[in-house]
Amino acid sequence: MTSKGPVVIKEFPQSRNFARRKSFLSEVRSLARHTYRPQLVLDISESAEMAPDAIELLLECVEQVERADGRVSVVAGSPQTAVILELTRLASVLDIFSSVSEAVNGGTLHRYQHDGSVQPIAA
Amino acid sequence: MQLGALVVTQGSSHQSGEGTNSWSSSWPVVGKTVVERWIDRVRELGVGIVSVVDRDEQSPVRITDWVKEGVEQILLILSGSYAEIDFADLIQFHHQGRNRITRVFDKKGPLGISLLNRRAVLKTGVRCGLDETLKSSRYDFRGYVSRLSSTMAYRQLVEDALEGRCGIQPAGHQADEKIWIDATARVDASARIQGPCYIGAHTRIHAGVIVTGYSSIEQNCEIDMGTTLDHACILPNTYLAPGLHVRNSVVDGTRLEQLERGVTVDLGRAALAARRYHVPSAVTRTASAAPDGGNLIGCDWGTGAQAPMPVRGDHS
Repeated sequence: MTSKGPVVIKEFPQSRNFARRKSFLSEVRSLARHTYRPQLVLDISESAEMAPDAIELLLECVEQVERADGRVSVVAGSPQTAVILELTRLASVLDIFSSVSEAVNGGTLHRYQHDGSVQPIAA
Repeated sequence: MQLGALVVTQGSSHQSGEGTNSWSSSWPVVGKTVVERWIDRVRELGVGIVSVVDRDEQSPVRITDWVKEGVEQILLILSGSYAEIDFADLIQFHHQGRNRITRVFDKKGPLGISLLNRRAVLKTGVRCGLDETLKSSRYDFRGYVSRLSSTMAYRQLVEDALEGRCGIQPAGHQADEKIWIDATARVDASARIQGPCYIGAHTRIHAGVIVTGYSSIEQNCEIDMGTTLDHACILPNTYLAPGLHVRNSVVDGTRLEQLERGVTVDLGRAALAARRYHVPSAVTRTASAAPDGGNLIGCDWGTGAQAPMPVRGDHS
């Protein structure tokens, strides 16, 4: 048994499109169901600010991944986003990084498949 | 000899910088603005004529008017700093030296405080009060000074006031060692208040709130359930949502300036804060109405019935 599961990078949905967010959450649920101890890296570096629904979605992701004994990391591009994450105490349940490479450092990068499986990316 | 005092403010709309430095002279320091504290100190001196004007607009005109009306000396204070000057000593220095213009300096430079003689105003016109290039006598001040040029400096002044490092006395009742709570504030019994800290008038602290680390909450604020304030200044009329952790920050309505990171965020967009505009005074009870009139910490001084929530502003 490995101590760490696959590292999966996903872009956090920026738009407030309900369907897009629902689809994103469904992918995260699928990941949590099909993998053991997934390391989910959510890239929100393009987002300058966090809306209330984005905070809710982030919390939902954490809940799903923690059910699989995994961990969620966030790539927060702007210091404003980092401040909001700290303010809302999300920083205590998330690992926050300033870049994707920093977030995946030490882990093996995997590609997430839509059927819920994950495949290692060859170096 | 008639003495007039003119306090020149930056104006309520002025802000000292852009982006991460939003300090304004209208921000209160544990209950009173710096301008109000200047006025108090001038009144203690026995000065009968005190006027507060906006910089660049009325001050030169006001100085001229006073001189025409026979005021012999004018104490001019530009409110860009807080300094605990002994005005009586300054006036004595001015008299002894037969000075026309005396300017106050500290080790970093001029403090924007001058004592002007009527003759100086008549000779050089209205410029003498504001033009630092004019010949003047220098009064060196070695006491407490805070140059309020940034939010960081404001935050430091609040800490100094709460720690007793300067002469600023927080408004309100001293409920415990280094804890000041206004009599009209309402603090839930489950809230944890760790001094030094200040809670201003008509402010409401909900259940489970933690106030620690030299935090100040000015008047008419509402801190919702479970929020923690640590080294934070909450400016008047601010509502903070439940469950937040506000650290090393100054919050003015929906605007939060995080001093450690040097960034400003709009909390309104994340629905974490709001500007409050009105608190019904009927729902508050003063500390004097308490049976023992004693410790405000951990006591809810609200009415026995469930008090209606104050009206909140919009999130715009």
